[in-house]
Amino acid sequence: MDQRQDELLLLKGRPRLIETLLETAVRSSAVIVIAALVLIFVFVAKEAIPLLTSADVHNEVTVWTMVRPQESGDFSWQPVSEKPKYSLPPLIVGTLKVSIVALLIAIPLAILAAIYTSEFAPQQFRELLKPVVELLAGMPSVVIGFFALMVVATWVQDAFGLIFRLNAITAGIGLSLAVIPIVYTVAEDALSAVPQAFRDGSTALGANPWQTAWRVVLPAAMPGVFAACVLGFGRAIGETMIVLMASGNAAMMSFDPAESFRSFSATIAAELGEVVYGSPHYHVLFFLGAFLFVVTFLLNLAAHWYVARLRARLEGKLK
Amino acid sequence: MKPFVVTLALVLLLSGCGSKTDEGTIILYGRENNSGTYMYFKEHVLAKADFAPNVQTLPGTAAVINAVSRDRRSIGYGGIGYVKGVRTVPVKKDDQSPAVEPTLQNVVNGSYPISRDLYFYTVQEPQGAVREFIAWVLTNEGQEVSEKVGYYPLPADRRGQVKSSEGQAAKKTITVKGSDTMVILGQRWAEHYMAKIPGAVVQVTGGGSGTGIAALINGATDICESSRRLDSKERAQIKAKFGKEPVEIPVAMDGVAVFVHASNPLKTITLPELQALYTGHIKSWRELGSTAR
Repeated sequence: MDQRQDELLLLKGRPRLIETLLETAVRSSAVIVIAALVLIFVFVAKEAIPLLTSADVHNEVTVWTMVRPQESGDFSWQPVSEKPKYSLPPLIVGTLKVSIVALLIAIPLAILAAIYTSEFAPQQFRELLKPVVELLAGMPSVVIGFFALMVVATWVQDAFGLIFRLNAITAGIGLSLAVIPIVYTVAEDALSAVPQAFRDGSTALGANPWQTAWRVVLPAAMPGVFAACVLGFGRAIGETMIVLMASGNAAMMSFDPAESFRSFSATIAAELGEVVYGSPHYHVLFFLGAFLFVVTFLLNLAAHWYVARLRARLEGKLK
Repeated sequence: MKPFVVTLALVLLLSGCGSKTDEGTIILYGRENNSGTYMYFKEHVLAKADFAPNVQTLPGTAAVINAVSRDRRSIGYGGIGYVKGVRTVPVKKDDQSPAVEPTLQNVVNGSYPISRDLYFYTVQEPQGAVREFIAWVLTNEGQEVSEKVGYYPLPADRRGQVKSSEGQAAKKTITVKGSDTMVILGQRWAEHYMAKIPGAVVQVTGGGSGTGIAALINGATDICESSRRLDSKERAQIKAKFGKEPVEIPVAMDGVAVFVHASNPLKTITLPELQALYTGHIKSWRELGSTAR
């Protein structure tokens, strides 16, 4: 009786104020996060816009000269030069090259590991495995970069007999170490969230555990698994330190993963500290930043749309 | 579907890389373009031409040396102070000149063809605590520190623009920012100076000469360390912002060493050869061998 009265009291009067306060706090946190994101974008875009509008900047570089070949007929990134050259294609190729290598390694590994963890691993081992892989996500990327530079580079060069010691394979392996925990965690959550009834049903129909995992649980978790891959891709194209250290940063126009490359993020990191404030080079670097931001944003948007579609199809709302 | 795609990609990857072992190709390492060493090399070795696109740039001389020490086909350049675990190559000015080792004597007497002064810059005649610190750096005691770190002291007749203004040193944190080549040197100076003068605080950070110069222009540092001279544009910016000419103080000397993997048989290299290498006109060790003998 007494207890009930206490509970009733809790719902009245004073707690209301606390609830209002808490609600405000939670709401403002959300607003602050979004506002920070918007402000960052506004800042980056503001510094990038002179590339499109300023006549001073246009004497040296325009968006058009960044995409078409230089006067010499090829693409070159030589921002510190008598005649500065800012070609985007080598950077785009380099960034994509390393991201693809990293994802080719990370996605199969991470998803298979996630399937193992959620479907096959004994309970105790699972409770050990997940935190350990997630620990990788907390490893500073400079440490991974250093590891790639000192150790992985030698392995890769010896194993494949490569000319370039620092190349997209080495950097991609380093990068995959940063991507794996993200893809793994999100994919594992998605797999674990598949209702037990699916597995029971599948087993009851005579499927073995592997068939259940591969043909029932994985397809059911596909929206989440796909979202995991997109997050991984976002991390791959945005990651800076690993690429800066292990890629060699040579702005070559080469699709060969065995050759050195220069990525967007590494270019910004290496050059932004030095540029003269307000110079064309400065605006170009911010343009690169804005470009990276927009690409990641569009990618996430597309992924979101695709995940929604997948989910709708799974729920039978879409044929 | 997915395993198929992955296998296909791996096969493509492997087949793409397998057949390319060529011992003759030269792997070029250099510094990032925010580095004073990069600018120096471009101006004095490449005659301002652009670096070839396949020059791999690394953040910091230590990283360059690290890379070269693990790469048999490579060549790199950087401040002498860092050289360890690689073999420095004596440099000839041209075919006829003698090959000169990057040693203290050769750098100080000017016979080593790619040596340079290292500078402190301030926006105006240094005052107070900053002046005291610079004056100390130029004393024999300060210059000995630079020798210990692997750089070279300025000859006595080139020092001493800055005289200590006894007693009027205001207590102040002195910030020093700039050249990565000089960052260890600056830190040693700061340590010795702080040990000697109780209460003095000197903070030294790197980032590249360009970073230091930008900080100087933005008023974010007392002293800018630079391994190259300010260019006319940067001077004009400081003049426009502060109404004063920047003050240039040579504080040490450095040679730009050219180094290769310890097992590389290369005996000497000439400046024209270095230029041809780093602008992409010489691509293999065989070509270099035939011109260098």
